Amino acid sequence: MLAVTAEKLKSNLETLVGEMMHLLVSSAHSTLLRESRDCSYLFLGPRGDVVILPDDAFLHSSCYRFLAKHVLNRFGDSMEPGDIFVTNHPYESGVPHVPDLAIIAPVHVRGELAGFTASIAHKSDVGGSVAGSASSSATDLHQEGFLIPLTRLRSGFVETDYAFLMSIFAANIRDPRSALGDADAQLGVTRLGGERAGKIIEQYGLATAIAAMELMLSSTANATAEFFSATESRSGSAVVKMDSNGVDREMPVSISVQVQVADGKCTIDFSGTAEQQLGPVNIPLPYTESACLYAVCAFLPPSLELNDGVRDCVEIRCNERTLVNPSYPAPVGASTITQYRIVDAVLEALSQIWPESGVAHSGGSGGAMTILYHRSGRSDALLQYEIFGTGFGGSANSDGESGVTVYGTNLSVTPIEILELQYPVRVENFELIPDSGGAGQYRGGLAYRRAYRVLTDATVLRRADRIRFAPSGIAGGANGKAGNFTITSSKGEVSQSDGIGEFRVEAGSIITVEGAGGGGFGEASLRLKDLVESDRENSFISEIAAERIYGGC
Amino acid sequence: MKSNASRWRVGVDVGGTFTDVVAFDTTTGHFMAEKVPSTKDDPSDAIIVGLQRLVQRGVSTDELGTFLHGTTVTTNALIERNGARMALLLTRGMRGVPAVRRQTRTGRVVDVAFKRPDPIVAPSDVYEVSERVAANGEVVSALDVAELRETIEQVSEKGIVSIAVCLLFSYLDSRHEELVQATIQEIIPSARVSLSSQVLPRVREWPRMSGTVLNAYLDPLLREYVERLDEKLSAEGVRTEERFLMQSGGGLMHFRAAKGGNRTINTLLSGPAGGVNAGRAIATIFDESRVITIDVGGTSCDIGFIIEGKPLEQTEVEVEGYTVAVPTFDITAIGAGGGTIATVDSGGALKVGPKSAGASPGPTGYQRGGMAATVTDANLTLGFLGDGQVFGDGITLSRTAAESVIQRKIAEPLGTDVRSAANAVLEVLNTRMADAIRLLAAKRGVELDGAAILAGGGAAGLHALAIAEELGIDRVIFPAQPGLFSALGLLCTDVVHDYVRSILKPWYSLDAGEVEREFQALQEQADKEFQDEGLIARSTEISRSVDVRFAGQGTELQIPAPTGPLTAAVLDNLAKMFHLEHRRRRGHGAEGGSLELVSCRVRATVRVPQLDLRSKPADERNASLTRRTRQAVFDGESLDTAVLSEGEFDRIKSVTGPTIVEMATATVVVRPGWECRSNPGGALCTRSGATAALVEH
Repeated sequence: MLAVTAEKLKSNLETLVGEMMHLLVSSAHSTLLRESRDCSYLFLGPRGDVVILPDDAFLHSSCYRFLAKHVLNRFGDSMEPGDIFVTNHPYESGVPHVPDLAIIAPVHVRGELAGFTASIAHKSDVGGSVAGSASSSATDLHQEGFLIPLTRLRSGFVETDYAFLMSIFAANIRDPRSALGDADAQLGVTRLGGERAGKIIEQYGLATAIAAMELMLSSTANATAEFFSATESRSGSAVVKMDSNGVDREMPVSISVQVQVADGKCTIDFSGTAEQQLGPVNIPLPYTESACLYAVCAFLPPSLELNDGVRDCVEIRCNERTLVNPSYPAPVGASTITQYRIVDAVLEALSQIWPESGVAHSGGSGGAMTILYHRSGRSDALLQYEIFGTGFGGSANSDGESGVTVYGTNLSVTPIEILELQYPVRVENFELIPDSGGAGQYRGGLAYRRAYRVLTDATVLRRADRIRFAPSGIAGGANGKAGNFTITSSKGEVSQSDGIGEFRVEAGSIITVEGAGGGGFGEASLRLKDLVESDRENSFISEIAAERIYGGC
Repeated sequence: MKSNASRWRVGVDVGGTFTDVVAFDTTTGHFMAEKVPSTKDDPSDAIIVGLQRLVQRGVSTDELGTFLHGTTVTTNALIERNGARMALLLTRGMRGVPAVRRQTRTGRVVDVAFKRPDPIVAPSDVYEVSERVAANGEVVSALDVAELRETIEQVSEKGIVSIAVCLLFSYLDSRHEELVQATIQEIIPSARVSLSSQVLPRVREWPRMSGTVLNAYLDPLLREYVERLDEKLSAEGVRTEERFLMQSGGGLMHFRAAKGGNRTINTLLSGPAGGVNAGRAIATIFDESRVITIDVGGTSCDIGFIIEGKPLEQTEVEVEGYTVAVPTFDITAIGAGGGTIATVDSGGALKVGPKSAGASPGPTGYQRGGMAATVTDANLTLGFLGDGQVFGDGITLSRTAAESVIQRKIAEPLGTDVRSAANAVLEVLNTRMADAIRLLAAKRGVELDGAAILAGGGAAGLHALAIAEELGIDRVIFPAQPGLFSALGLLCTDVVHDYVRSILKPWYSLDAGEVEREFQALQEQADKEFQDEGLIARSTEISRSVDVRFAGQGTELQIPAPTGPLTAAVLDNLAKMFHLEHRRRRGHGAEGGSLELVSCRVRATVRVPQLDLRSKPADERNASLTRRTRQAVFDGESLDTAVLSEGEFDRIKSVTGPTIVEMATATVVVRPGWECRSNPGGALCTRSGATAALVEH
């Protein structure tokens, strides 16, 4: 019975993916991978479809699909068992941005293609114009790091070809030791995962396994279509504004989305969205698609198995040369910031269709910060890279969660003791920001503040959104509080910024990062008095807010 | 007969339903058992009832030498959230640490309404202390004692009885935490204080703080419970001072240590730890070097591993959104058991679990109002469980009810017959359990080839052989008295204390003498604590290990170290062992890579006389043979299957599949191709003949 084989195969593959993800993190070198877990691992079917979609890979789902299909198009006829492909090219290979190195390998069973095994992991530096490769003002892809086109390491020559490729890569990046350690870990799990996947599939026989994968996809597609059909034909729309593209700092960038659910299908149309931008907020199409898929899946019944079957029922329309579907060589370094905003917009539009599961905007990405410590007499760079959490928006049934990375991202916070042991820095403040969550019947989640005193001179690179435009509330809920970024010199002078750029600071300066809080859901006057009181006691809201916004208690 | 003050060893396991009290006679090797309904409000009541009954049966309290107890008091208090009203004191500016915790979300990433489990200590009960120690242990700003006094006055006014203190880098320099403790005790003499530098002196502020908060939350409760039990035991005439609690990572903790307060979190998995110990003992008896333990009940399946006679441990577990970073038996629960629900979704896919119908209303075949198609219903449909078979608590199984629900909810939507449908449910469940074992084995670096399964719990016997076949395993052992598994395990346990010290230094900078001194300091601490527990007269065994990683990695591997003295040559050898282990567990290595020593660990063990699990209960039963058979469907084929009671099986000693053995608390399905033998002590050993034959070819 194919349904039973499908369920067994799914369990086998989920197990394999979980195992490989664990291995990738536990053998990684950079704090970005091992403490934050900014990486993913996936198995794909022989046509390049995502047949199982684990939580860790949500963010990259459609990127993997694009990558695998690209490998098939380019090398489909000549691919051999044991081949490995390496790339970080956003346009050619569909990765979110240049720092994300992808390694993908075909899985063969008795010489026949049975699928792909792949990993994507963020490197804290891949060269380019600034340390951390996170320039907020790049105007060209080539400023964002060293590009590796889709490169085939031929079976039998993998070791030598890999060493050769990595030696060129290493010469072009700032922190080669940890980047190469991470790449080794990726290569290790991609190979090991491929071997194991081959063995699993062989147990069932290739034809049966492929039929089972097709069944997994079609059952999900059917269940998704059925869910969409159960809704009477309806539509929703949203327009969100990003602070700027990083180059034209005064000019907001808008994302416009119209969503329609009808005849068992969901159409997401980005007409009206900004043109392709000069700065790095452009987002490669596969990453836009991953964002849409996330937002749609948030409304699907929890019992539904998620995979590319959902995509069969979702049509995504993005015009070429726009923010959400740019062309080479437009810069894409800050694409993840945009990804959060696309999710905000699609969730808002879908909340109009299914208000009973509605949710307000989140605080989005807390942004990335790189600190390059200046040290005399050392050749290697001392590079601290962190990505910050914010808070979820309030939803139709509950407050937004505080102090988390939202949506498809699920990163750990880097321990303060680890930072201070590794870098000349002292963390002076780490706390939730009172009143940062938008007021409402269900309050938005609070963002947090981290303040760093650098103990040597340093260069700080910061890239963030949500400094000008606060996260919107919905259904009468108030907006969350916008983010903030300040530098206090050792003499006590405070300078505020729009949260993006490169700053040289002296030893003793304090850098303060504040994320944006989530928007509120529903009128604040409807909030239960008990909840207002406990928020006040726990300093989630101030006395003033308790009085003025919620009318005391 | 002359009185023997250490004749009896008593083991007590308090479960959710029953409290098992077992007395082991060290002079004869026999044991007696009492099963008493648990008393939830005060678990010690049931313990005393059990003890009194054993006294009536001949156990003398004068001759009771050791009292051993596995408890779920702290686990339940954490899950039900009824620990002590507590406060947390942390370094000024660091309130984000308990608020953000790890920052990660658990569960489905698409759940935009995700909520963390509620915090144990409300933000309004978190207080800041002005002080700061730097990463090199240097005091950057001194503790502001005047301000601290004001803070403690505020805490005092709230009526708080337990206080956790976790300051940054206190694992390097604990003086600030100690000064806070002294100040608290001066202002609130009755307060219980948990210091992170004593509970868990390790780098990374959140795991350390998390453990300290849990400790402070649960300490007053555990202390109160142990004091009460202590008094009641004495009132019953028990004289021995050798009274111990089971710890999560195995080993025993003296009642005095439990009352002392710094080791409370070591009891969080005290309950299931007894079973793992029994598993260890059985693995040793049957001389199995690699054993997978599965304990399958109604809702979940607990999986653990015993390698070379030692249960695998983990250094960190997650409970209720909190991190518990103390050595714990590596037990993983998955949602798969007799009550697990099967459904066919709208897309036509068959799903089994993880939801369960539980014990109430339970599977449809229980006829107690359950409406779901469960694994038990599938087992009934196929004849693995018998129509009319009686489960404890007066449940009578109905095959008709089971068949009709499988027909309606599984067979019809899948477009197949009822037997194929039931078979599919079991196949999917067995695959899930086998995969969970595969995943865990891979994560822990356990090779499945050549391993054996030890299957405990009521439902394990129905699935263990099918799981074994799927994993290519040819030996499955079922313990005698599966219902007393945990209590018996307590009687095969030594007294164990674990100590750890964070080092975090590059390997090249290590001074062997300095590392040796760290180990010595830990051993002195162990000696002192054993002395306090009155155990110093016995010989103490010390084992050492080091946590090592590649410089830059975040996860370390634990490498066993010789007992000493530590020299430069030993350090070199440890590095070599690390490289081998890394390659084995993580699939790649870098022999030239530089290493870091993360921490030193010492495990101190005092050996005590142990129950041999081959011993028989003092009261044996006899049974006559009835020669029953019924039809059971194995992989689609209906076979005449012999059905034996436990007593009958004991007399036959050996059967081949297909056979079903109905034990008092479990049913074992011996599949075709398997042979099952009984062993001294009543354990069942099954072996796959087919597989064995294949190996011989």
